Amino acid sequence: MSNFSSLEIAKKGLLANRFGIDVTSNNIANVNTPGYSRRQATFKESSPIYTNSGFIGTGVISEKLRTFREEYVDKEVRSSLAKQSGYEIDEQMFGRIEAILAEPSDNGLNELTAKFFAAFEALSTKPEDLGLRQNVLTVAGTLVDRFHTISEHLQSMRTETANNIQSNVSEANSLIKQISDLNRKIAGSNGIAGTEAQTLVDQRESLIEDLTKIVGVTVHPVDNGEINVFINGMSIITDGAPSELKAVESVDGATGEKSMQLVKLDSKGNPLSVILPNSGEISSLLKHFNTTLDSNDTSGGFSIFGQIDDFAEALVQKVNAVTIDGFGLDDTGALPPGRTFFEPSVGAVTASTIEISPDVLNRPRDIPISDSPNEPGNNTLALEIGRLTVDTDFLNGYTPSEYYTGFIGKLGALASEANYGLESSKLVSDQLLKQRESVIGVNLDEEAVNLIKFQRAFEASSRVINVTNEMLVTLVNLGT
Amino acid sequence: MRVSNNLLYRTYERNLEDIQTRKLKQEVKLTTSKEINTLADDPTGLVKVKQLSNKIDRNENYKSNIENAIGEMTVIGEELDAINGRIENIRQLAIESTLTGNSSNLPTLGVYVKGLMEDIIKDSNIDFNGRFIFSGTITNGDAIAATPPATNTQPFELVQETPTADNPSGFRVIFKGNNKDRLINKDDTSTELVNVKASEIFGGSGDQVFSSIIDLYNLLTYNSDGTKRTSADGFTRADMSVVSQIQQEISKQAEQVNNIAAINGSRINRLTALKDQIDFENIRLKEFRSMDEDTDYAKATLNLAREDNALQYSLQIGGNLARLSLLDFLG
Repeated sequence: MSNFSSLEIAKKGLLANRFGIDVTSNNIANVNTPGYSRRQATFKESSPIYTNSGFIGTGVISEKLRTFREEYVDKEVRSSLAKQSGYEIDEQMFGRIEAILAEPSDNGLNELTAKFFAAFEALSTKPEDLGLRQNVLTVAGTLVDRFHTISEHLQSMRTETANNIQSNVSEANSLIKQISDLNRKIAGSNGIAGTEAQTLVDQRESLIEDLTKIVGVTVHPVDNGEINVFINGMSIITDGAPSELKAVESVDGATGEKSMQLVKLDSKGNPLSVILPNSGEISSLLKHFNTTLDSNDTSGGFSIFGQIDDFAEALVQKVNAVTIDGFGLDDTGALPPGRTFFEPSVGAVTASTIEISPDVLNRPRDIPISDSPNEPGNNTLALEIGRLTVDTDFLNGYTPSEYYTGFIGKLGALASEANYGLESSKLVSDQLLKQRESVIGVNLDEEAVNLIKFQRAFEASSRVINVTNEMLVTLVNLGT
Repeated sequence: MRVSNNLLYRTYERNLEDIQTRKLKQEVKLTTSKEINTLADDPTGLVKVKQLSNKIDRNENYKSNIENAIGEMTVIGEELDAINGRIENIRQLAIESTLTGNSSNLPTLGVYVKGLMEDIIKDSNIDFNGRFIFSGTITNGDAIAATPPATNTQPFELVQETPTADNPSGFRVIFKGNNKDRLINKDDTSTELVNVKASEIFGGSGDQVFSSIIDLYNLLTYNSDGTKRTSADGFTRADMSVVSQIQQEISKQAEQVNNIAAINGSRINRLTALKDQIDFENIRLKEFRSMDEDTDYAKATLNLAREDNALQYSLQIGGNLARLSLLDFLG
């Protein structure tokens, strides 16, 4: 061993501790960087050499940059984030539907329908009163307008949902591509000391979390640092190769039902297979597009749009069944003129097509509420229409208010479920994120101690260099 | 557990958000005075509230129907009393005409009888809010044709036809209405009859008693040969017998009118009791509804105060988050 070996040992000490300071400084600089996992410089003694006095150490080298990220915790975090974002979409959707239906309030469809029947009830006490007849038409007009408004807004919401799905799919494709790029870079740098692998891993995890919020994914790590990504068992990144996703709308020729699916494309851009995401925003949006907001839904699920259309259809059928046999104030013929009160503007009766029939629109005297001609005080059919409000056979064995409050109750239960799901998934996510943060997060006090530690060690190594230098000077000046 | 800087901030942010959400919920409850402000707040409670509201609204409709009906039936009762009085007067005149001292006054009595009959017709043509009350479902003149011998569109009309041996005056009362029921819905399952029909008051198809009255008039005014009576023309024995028969028919009809008036009165009482019952039921229903629908102000105010305090303390603690670390003491 010579003086120069001492210098070399001290130099290694300087380099190692300076590296330690660099790592600490990087941690402090990234204390607020989202998704950043703290690093730790680990050292080991460099290989000893044999001397007459035995094996002597040759200093210190940086072994590796340790990271504290754990795949298990990351996996749990992804899963809970996917569920949370699905519930968030559900909560927003149901909240908007509530607003469209104006519930709970005194201006909802239930109250307007009750007012419609009440108008006939009032007319039954004075059937020849033109004011009361006009009131029936006015109330009916308000009811019809409400149906139209609800239908327009639900349709518009469905269109918006479709647009959201498309934009989410675009974003997912962009994230998939970025993740795949990072995969390649990580695979290329894996195992090579001093490379940027850990930084890339943090970035990739951040992108995966963004992706999982959009469409719930599962991740399988492979040995070279790459990952394979799946959506409900269907691979979207395998062996570093990304797949493209597309949201495809189709129309059932028989029923006219529009539905949307998420498909994986092949390399030529052709649909390869259908993907059924079970969590994330896209999963929730697809569910609402295909069921909740689908007026032609045949899946048997809860379709608000379908229920409103059924309600409108039942109202039209029931009221028209009564008025078709009635006489107005000026009808003197023996046979009823066969007037309807409502009719569809085009095609079948739905919430968007329901209209007041031209038989009675602006013609209050022609509202057919008498069961005999030329009897202005005859209110038989007005009584019958008024009594439809308690008709247990109005729709599916329910009265109008029972049917309506039934599906409002169902909507409320679903909204409550979404709220509860969101709250509990937020709690779980929060807990997992806190747990992860406590392991990978930067603590400034801890880094300050590390800073002191590496600074003092650096000072000590530089002191060794000073001493060794003085010894060399002494040796050199010997005999002068 | 190891505490990182982000962990501190995240926890604080989350708790602050939670407090603000809870506080907002209480504020909404207080400002709207409703316990249920979204469907998700209490779906079961909301369904119950809506069902109660529907029932209350239906009850209000029935109550309105009943009030309208009571109004009309009260007028009907008054008119029946008036009609009954006049029929009774006619019956008295019939009796008086048979008294010895009145044999020279028969034509005068005839004039009285005709006058009373015209009053009955006027009473029968009365309307309530523009609707004839004794003409069934023919409630206004638009549905009545003034086909000769009728000259107007009132339900009851005294017309003059060609005199005959049986009807020397040629008078006839024609009834242009019908005898159909008018009903109202008084609850979810049943209706109530609100009108009195002409056939019930006047017998036959609504004009029978008038035939008897005209017969009496004819008897008082004309001799059996069709010539007008003078003060010297008293009743014959046969005339007396006819008058007696007419008087019995009129008496029977007067009793019928009394009966109908009593039935009408009892309907009014029943409907009044039903209206009171509906009022009581609605009060109870509104109480039940309020239990689920309305905010408990005391509870909401206390909760709001509690959340407000929590928010204030959280905000104060927030100031300490930017606290010192070891880095501040390194030289």
